[in-house]
Amino acid sequence: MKHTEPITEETVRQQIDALLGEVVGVDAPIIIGVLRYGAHLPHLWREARTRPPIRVILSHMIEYLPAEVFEAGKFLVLDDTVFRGHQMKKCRQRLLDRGVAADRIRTAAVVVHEDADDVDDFPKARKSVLNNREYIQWKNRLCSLVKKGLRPTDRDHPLYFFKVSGISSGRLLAFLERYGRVTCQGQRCDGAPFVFSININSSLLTEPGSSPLPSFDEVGISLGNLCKLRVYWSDQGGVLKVTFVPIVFPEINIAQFVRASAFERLVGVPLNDLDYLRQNPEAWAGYIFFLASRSLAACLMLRFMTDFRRDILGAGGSISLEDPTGEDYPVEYVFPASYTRFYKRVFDSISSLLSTSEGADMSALSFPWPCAFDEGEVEDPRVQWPHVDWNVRVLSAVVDDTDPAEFDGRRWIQNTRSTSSASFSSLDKKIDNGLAVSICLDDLLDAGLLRAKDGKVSDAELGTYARVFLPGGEFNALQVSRLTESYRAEGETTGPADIEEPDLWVGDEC
Amino acid sequence: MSAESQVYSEQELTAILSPRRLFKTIANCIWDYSFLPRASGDKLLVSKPGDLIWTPHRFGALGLIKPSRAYNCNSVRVSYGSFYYPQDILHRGTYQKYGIRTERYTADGMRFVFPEFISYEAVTKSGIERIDQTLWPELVRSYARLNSKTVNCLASCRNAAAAIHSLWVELVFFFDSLRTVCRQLEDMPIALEAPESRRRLDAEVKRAYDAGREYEGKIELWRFRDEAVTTFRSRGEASQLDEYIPVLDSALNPPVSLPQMLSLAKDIKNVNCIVGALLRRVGLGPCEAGIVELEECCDGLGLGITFKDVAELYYGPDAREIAGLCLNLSFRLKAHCEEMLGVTILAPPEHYSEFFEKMYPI
Repeated sequence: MKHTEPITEETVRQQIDALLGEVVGVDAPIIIGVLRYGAHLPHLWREARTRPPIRVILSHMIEYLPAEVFEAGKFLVLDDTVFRGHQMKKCRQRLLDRGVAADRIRTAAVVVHEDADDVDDFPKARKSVLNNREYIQWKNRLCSLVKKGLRPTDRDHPLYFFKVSGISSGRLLAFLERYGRVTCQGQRCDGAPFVFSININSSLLTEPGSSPLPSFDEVGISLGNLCKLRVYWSDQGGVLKVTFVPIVFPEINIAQFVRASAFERLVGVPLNDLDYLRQNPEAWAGYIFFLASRSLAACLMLRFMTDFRRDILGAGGSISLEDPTGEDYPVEYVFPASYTRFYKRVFDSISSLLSTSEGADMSALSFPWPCAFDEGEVEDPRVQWPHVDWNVRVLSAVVDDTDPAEFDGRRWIQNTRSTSSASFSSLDKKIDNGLAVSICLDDLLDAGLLRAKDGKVSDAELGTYARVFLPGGEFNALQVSRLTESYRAEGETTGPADIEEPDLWVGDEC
Repeated sequence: MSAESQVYSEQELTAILSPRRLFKTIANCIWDYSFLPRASGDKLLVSKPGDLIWTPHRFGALGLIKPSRAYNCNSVRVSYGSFYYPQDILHRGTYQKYGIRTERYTADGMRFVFPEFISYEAVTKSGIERIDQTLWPELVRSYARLNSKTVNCLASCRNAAAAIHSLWVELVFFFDSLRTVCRQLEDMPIALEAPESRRRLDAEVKRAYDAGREYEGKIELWRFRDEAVTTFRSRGEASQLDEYIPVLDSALNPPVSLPQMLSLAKDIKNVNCIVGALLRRVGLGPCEAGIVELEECCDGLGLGITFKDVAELYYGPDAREIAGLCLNLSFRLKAHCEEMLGVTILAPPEHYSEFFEKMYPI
């Protein structure tokens, strides 16, 4: 069916409603949400709350789940759009690799690009085929629709939901300024919630009491200079519904980490709970990194909440932690038991922190947080050098000299063999401005030009893992290819010293 | 200066005489002198105060020079197409012959230096009327020793017409400077990187910010007016003019009312704070407002800009986007002011042309 209707947020929503109504109604499959938007679609389905809960597996979790999850039932690989079909095929293959029979896997997307391979098989009759212009327009509408919701799409980081009363948005922002450099995240969108990041000096985590580990170096952990808290909130009748997403950028030498018996101390889960993954050493090491890095992020969250709670109470407000299952409903995420235990431990710690003798320790000595940047450093690199396109610079540093797209003789397609990726620390070294890297990563991830995943950055015994950033998939890989090629062609943008004085002032200054 | 008397001693007076104070003192004298014949029922038929005029300026009302004679324009600067800089004029022969000169005593500070006396011979030759020789110095002396606030208040806001003109000129400069800086920043954010352009942008932002603040300042002065009149009348120095000065009436009804002007104060203050704080984020201007203050400003503003719009730019300072929002905000506020007042707000030179043609109150 060729798409002819004007593309608006409402028509996009109608298409999602129609697709989900049909796919979830058949066999009640477990949905595999492909990357960010695929996993987000069930939350956009307007009828979801009138239906039984929808079970969703986040695509990055496929290898970490025990085999029993895949032994029975139907699976639906769900994505918002299909450009060429590589991601869909890849995700399907991962399910096949986990032993799911082909006849138990179906695929579905809301719209497909006219050049897409025929990879989505359900429901074909409803499939909307879009040309390039329509495809971009549709993506933009979906993006704006998603942004208007409070739920962030970065679900490969644990989310912590709070209710804050008696505090205005401005006061909240003023409090956040105390903990690090607050920056605005991503592209702005009318009607969307407040979305900000606090860029925090990660040396905070090495302070005594911030984490259960005595020393990071000894257990094979190297921290990036910055860590961050993403904060999303909306004002709902004087009550702020706030979601915190703590993110830390460690590089972890898995063998050293395991040898030092640091896993249980940091994560709070016995390492042998992960034994079911031993047959696949890569998945085992990857999952250890996943839990360890999210535990470090949880340490940040707890450390932050200890002081932030005081701020809120001191200003006459109150803060409470919200149950994530209630926030996720009607979606029920399928996680490994070890993840659920880890999250519950952190959840209970925060709950207990928030509920213990409220306000009693208001007079406790409060140490200042380490400054994320040197005194006198410029507020924001975008202010100091507005002519520099920092985003393209960071993109270019990610792809380095490899091209994320290739020409197949007829058209440009994603280069699936491209291995270009970069960790936060390596980007920080290349760009030499941690704040710029952090801000740009937020922007680029938000725009879909980059994606992030946990990846191996060295081939040492069991590998060293880090959060790595790589060009966006399919359609976005082409955009990244074009942008970085232009950047390389033009050479490095001129530095401040090369800027000529513009002749702006024609009139006499009075 | 003692707090009780609110007047300066002879010694203090010689130490504080700056051009700004001189112009404000003259502004008061011009106003009174222009109205003396009328206020005295033609008992004191003084002359017109020569080339001196009272004018609302972005520094508050000043006594400026709008010479009837033509000077060589290559050597005399003209401000806003109407006024000559007094320091330029004082260098011309007319004034030099009396020994009046200017002196630069700091990098940006200028002081007028007057002769200890002007000889009887020179005064006689000047052709100044006897009545003016007697009353003008008395008038100047009446204002010269008052404190700055009182002099400012009586110069800018001694009656509704003067207050309206003083507020009006701040609006004109506020919008003009804001438009200038935002357009340039929106077109060429790269200007921030070149030191000279940055300095100029910074100066222009400061001008806009000061004008916005001065709007509030003028309203405060208007509210202080009665107290200022009381202070003037109790200054402890008798003059034969006391029966008539300060002259508080005006010969002109301006086209807008003072309550209308006063009702705009809150919106102007809020916009000035928002714009000032955002431009400060790209390193321009002096505004130090924090995010909580910005939220209060946005809550009290009904111009279609939300706190979220402002906060996003406050923490994501993109010069071009900030300039765009500030420009948008200033256009909306200007349209709102014009609608409320029922008149068009012009750019400075046009403003002064129209002012002299239609609204010059003296």
